[in-house]
Amino acid sequence: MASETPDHDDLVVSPERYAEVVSALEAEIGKVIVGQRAVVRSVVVAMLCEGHVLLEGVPGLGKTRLLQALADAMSVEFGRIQFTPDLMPADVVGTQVLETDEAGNRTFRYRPGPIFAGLVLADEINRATPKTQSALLEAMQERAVTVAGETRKLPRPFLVMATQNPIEQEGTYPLPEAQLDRFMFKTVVPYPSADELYDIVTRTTAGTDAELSPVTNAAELRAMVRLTRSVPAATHVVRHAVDLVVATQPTGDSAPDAIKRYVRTGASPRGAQALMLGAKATALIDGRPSASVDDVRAVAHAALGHRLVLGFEAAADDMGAASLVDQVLTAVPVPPSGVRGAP
Amino acid sequence: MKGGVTPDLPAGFAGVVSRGRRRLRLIWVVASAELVLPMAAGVALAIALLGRWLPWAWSDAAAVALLIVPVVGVVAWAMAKPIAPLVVARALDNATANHDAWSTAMEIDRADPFAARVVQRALDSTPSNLAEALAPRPRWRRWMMVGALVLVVLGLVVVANPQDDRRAEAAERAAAIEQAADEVEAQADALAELPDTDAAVAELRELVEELRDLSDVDDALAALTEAERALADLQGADQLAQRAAVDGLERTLDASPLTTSGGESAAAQLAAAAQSLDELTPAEADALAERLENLAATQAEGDPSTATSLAAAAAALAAGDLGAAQDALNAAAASNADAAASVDAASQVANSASDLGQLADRLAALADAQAQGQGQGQGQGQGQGQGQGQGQGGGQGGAGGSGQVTGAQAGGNAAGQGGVGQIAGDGTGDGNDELTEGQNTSIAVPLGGESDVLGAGSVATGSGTATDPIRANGTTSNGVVTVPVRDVVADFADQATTALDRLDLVPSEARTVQNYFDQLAELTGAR
Repeated sequence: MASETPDHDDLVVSPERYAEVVSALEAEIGKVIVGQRAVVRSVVVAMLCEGHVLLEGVPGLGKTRLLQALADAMSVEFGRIQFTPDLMPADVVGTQVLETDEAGNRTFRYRPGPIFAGLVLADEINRATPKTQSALLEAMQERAVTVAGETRKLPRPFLVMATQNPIEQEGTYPLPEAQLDRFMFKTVVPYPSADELYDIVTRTTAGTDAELSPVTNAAELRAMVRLTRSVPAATHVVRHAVDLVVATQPTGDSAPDAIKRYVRTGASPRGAQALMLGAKATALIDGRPSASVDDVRAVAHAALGHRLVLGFEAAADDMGAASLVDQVLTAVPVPPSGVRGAP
Repeated sequence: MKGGVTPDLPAGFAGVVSRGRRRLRLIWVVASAELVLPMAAGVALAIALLGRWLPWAWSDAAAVALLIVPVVGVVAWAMAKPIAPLVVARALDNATANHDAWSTAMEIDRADPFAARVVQRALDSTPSNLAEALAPRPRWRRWMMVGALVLVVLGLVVVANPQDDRRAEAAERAAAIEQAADEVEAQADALAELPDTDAAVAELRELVEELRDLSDVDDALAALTEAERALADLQGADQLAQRAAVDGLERTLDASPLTTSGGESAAAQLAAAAQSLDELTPAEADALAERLENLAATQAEGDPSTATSLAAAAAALAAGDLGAAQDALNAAAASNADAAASVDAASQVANSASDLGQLADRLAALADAQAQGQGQGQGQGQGQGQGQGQGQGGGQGGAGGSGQVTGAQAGGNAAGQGGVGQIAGDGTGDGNDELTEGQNTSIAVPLGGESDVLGAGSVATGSGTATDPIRANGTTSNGVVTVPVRDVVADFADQATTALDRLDLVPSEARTVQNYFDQLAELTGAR
């Protein structure tokens, strides 16, 4: 399928092709990932927005496998970084190495790190030191790295798919808020259901792994990202995204009581951007040419949850970000028409 | 996107928007009515119930209006309420869950690459049955509550209200007060035609204005009583004395005319006497001089001007100066005529005061009757009472007594000193009683009481009409002298009038006594 798509930046993707690629992509991923449709959809949506994703879940739920499958289903350069405490920034962004040419001249040459890929898997990102984690900051935001005073642009699309383990916190370094904010979505990978687990066991113990075929390439993916951004949204849809973000801020008048009590810092403007981009991608995937309020609300948990900085009371009361986002969604309902009695 | 600005509607949108707008108006009417009607019906019920305890004439009408006006108002407001196309689009989107297709299509820039798709999707998502998609969703429980309240309110309006009688009585009282004001105004207009009545007219007009502002009978009664006293106060001692003098002279000359042509007024008789002086014999002139002197003495206090002229005429006549006597008599006639006019005006004022008293009595009777009606309605208020009344009457029979007539009169006192006598016989009289409550026993005011002229007497109560003039027979120290009552009744009346003038009586009561003597005079043929 990838061979049918031209590989140049002038490519224009139709909404129908957009939905077709996503459908094919999810089907390919489904060959190796059982269930987890919401997680897969969240990752795909973020990818179509060229947004970074943080997957959080206990070991063994297929986080790494999901991202590998995503890379395998696309003809996009894939890079994997296994974050460990001794991982150095240079191991991420690359380093200058001294080389001797045939004439015996010695020169420094930049050897790119694994971050120079279209899809970068940052596995167990919270195990690296903050110094190494911060190496990702410039790359994630600016989509460029600076080594030895020279800034080098990263290939596009550039997507960081990170995973982290919420347990075994010994020896880990929680991601700072600034870096968390750079992830468009954070998706919690749940345990599979019993039926899904049955399928997982059946598939993975049969002795043969499924072969994934690329359904798209980098150029088409870039075109899909451009298409995502061009999707129209009505004024009240954008306004609703803004209202949701404002409601997460404990100083806001519209913030529910739980937010005021448990949240120290609410979502940033990046949260609103993530909501709208996610809504647009969701609309296109759903075959619609415009984003809606429902699309915004559909991505609210993934876009806002990790942007809430919770206080100690939240930990004491076992109040999670997901519950707080639910309260925000309740406090900011779908805007009515404005006519009394009418929907 | 155009940031909420509604552009020209895409093709095919206008019809849907128009129909959607009508549906939204209907939805708004239903929802607003659900909000307003329970409150309005509740208030209407409260007013209708309070109208059972309070004499509100407007309670039923207000209760019904509270049921009708909100409905009309809501519908009218809905008709006038502007509903933008974008609002219709939002309602359509929410009703059909079409992911904001219509509102996006309304706002999208026509040059947007997605514009055609968005518009087409909106049209495709248009529900085939718009009325079903945008249907009112009445909350039936609330409507049932409203219906129940409306039925109760209408039931209260239809069923007879016990306050209706009280409202009717209040209206009757108001009408009575209004009628009293009209009558007082008519009195004021009539008095305004007479001389020297400015103060009385002003007092009456002020009373009219006050009555028109009043609705309470007690207040109206107080105003009438106050005005009655004010009019009585206007009757100064001088006016009362003048009236006594004028009336006394009138009666005296009526009983014993100066000239042969009786029946004329005192002024006319004086004028006629002036013209006939030349025809008098010396003896007649002396007698006339003496008569004029006596008359002057009776007028000295009440009508000094006439008294002076009469005295001057008497003196001139005694001196044989017929010209001066003629001039003095003419002056006396003119003076008496002026005094008579003044007395007449004062009498009209007194009558007005008396009428005010009657108006007050009528209002009081109305209030008492309504109060009694309410009492009977409650099983109370029946009883036997006592009261006092004033009566007039004439009796038939003879009266005996002894007395001495000195003949000498001085000042304004009654002429002569009569003996002590008693009027006895089967007296008859017409009682004019004022019932205060229940069944009354009338007590007639004695005719004379202790009197210099007739002496003490009493009149039995009764009813009937006198058939024979009262005559009193008395014996003087010089012998038996028969004095017809009609000869002295004028003086008797003058004495009574003078006595009444000195008493602080309400004019209406004084008028009653005066009427008695007027009737007595008629019965005896003294006038």
